[in-house]
Amino acid sequence: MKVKGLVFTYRGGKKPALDGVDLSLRRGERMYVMGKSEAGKSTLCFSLRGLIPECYPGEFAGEIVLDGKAIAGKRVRELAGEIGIVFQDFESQLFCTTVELEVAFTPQNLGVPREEICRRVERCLELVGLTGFDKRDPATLSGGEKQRLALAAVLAGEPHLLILDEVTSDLDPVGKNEMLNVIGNLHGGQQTIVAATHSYEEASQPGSIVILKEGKVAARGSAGEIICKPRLMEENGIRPREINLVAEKIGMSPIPPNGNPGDLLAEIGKRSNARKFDELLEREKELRKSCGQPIIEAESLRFSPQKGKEIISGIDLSIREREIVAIVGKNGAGKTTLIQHFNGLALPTKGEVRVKGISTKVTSPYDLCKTVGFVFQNPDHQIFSETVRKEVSFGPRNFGVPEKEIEERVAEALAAVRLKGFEEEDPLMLPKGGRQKVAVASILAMRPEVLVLDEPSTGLDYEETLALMELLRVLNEKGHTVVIVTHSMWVVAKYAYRALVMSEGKIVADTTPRALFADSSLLESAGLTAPEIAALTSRFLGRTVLSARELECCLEEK
Amino acid sequence: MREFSLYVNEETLVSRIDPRAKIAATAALFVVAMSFNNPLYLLGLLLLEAWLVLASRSLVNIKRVKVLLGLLFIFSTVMWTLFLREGPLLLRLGPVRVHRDSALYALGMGMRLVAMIVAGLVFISSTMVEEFVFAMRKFGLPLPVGFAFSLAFRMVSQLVKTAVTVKQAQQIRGLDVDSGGIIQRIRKHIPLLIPVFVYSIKSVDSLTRALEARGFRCTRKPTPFIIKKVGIADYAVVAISATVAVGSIVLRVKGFGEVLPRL
Repeated sequence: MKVKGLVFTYRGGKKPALDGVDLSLRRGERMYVMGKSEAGKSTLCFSLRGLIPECYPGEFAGEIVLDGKAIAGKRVRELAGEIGIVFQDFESQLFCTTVELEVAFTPQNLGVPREEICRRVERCLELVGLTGFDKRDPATLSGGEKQRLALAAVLAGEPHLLILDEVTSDLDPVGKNEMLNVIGNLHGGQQTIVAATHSYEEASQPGSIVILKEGKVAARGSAGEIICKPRLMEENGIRPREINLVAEKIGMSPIPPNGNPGDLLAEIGKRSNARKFDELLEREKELRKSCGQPIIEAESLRFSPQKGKEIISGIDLSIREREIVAIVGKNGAGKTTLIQHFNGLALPTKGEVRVKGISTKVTSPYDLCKTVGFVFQNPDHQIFSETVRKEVSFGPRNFGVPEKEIEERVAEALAAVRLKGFEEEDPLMLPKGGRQKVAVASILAMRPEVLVLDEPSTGLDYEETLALMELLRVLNEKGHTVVIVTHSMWVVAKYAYRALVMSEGKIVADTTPRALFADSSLLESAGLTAPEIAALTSRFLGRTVLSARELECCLEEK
Repeated sequence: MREFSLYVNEETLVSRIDPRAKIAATAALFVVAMSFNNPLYLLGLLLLEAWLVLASRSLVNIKRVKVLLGLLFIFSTVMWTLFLREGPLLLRLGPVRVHRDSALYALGMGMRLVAMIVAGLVFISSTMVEEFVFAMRKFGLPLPVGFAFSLAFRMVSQLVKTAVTVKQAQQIRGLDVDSGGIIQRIRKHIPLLIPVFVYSIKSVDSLTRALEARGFRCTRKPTPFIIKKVGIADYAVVAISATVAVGSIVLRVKGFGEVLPRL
């Protein structure tokens, strides 16, 4: 595939989403497209697939050539047998009632004979590890299985080029690893792939990396070259490999993907200071001690939406004032259902949940939400106003707060999420990170003591996630209790005081992030993975360090 | 993505029947229900349906709608009893009079409603959307209409799921749609309707993109994947259904199975 001078401006867009992109890709090659949100990654994927300009009106210029033929003028559906695309949202791309019908859909549309369709269904399900699932209803699959099914459904069209648009970003660590393994082994590693991703782990597989910035190619190179430039990654909103940040700091060579970190770790080992590490642990203890009285308590909590189907199976827990608690576990472990009990969105079938000592069974959700603010995973489930100001003032107005105080609260909440100056903007026109901030601000304006967030980093890039988490840290320092459900282990490592590990409706561990990431058997049984820096330091230094910053603090100057 | 599906994904005696034969059988059950108003005849129909519920393993769906079924049965029975005055007087409680024939007819009407809903549920529980569309296309339904129909089935469940989440998201910001006057209540629904509407449009947009990208076109017939060969058992179901339906109409015309002949 060759891309020459690709320019695209969405209708009504102020500037081009793609601005003169030139690329070339050989058969069997893999290219990872990285960059901040709105950098043009999805626009590039849609253009390569032909969805742009057919499905998205705007000004298009440039040329895309596949196997020596320009794709311009070809309809999207005509390219289904040549270029396949898997989207980030696995829910919206599955629409059949059984797994085999889903996989058969593309070859059916391509007019492939039935016998061949049956062979392809069998082969593709085997490729993605879903053999035996053919009669299953896709709705009953886990997130990782659904995304692998979406991949199988596209592979059944036998495309020459496979485009993956952030396909792992909604998955739990296990689902993500399963998906990466499948992608890595497609056709013996010889499937031509263009993959948009925020994750350097995904881009660490053999291939090249292209970084987009404001629609232009800001950098390109092999995975080894790019991942060894942590500052370049940070500047472009990509989470850097933390071990390389440390290497840069101590003047050593960065480690390429699959490189041996032995020398670097030996040097870190030499320079590490046990006393400084102990001070770190001491500070952590002090921080935990400084937390206040229990604010949310669950006692023998059980929840069954219907007879015979228990989602929460006997949970006892106590969350104290000013804690930052991360709830982690596989998709379907019961995390979201548990936090829905904290503000009365779900009520216990058995047992009790108490907020500030009062049972949620005797308190109305209307009163509970003054104490416990809940931010949904998808901000689009709540935004409806024509301005940011009106959206943020909605909650306080419903509670009868006087107008003058509403103004104060809105200003305070928008300042906290750094959206001051956006008061008159249409919230629906903001990027995902901006909409997420509006959702947080609209809850903050109700001044709850506890903030509960359900997977707040979904769809956000590294920079946006960092900004949101820093905001939560500041709010926590001001006295708010924070509870987050997340699949991002680096977020847990960097921000949480405490980690609750869930599996099959139970809390299987109530521990600190440091203890969690040092316990490989717990991680494995809960389907979690430790951040690389924590795994490496646990294994080679015998101490679990949670971030590059922490590690730097534990090193002696040369 | 379907989340509120009624289809029971299990291999059963009923699910194995060709969808065309199942449509014929369901239609026959409707004809029987409509033909008679005598509770004894309708009890026979309900017993047959009870066996079908067990055979199709659709009891789980009957349980889901048991409250609705109960309310419909009670409401229909009570209303017909109160408003019809046919046959000898059985009971008088102030202005309320209960006549024998009216009470029997009312009971029959309640049973008829239940019988029709149960027949429909057995069909939905044992038939995939794709099988239903396949059958309808065999009956001459154009491809775009059939596909739109099957998509609508899927979108309804997604819409319900979105609406539930949006309602929760606004409730926890203090929205109380159940208080205030009628105008106020209508206005309070705006925070619910806009996110559902916007989210649905986005979902439809994603769905359209996914369909296009997977080569779907309304104008070209896709390779049939579901192939149903009508077997002896299916022919037998159609023949029995037709006989039962015609037989019911004939019996009713001859005056059997009626409490009140005029109704």
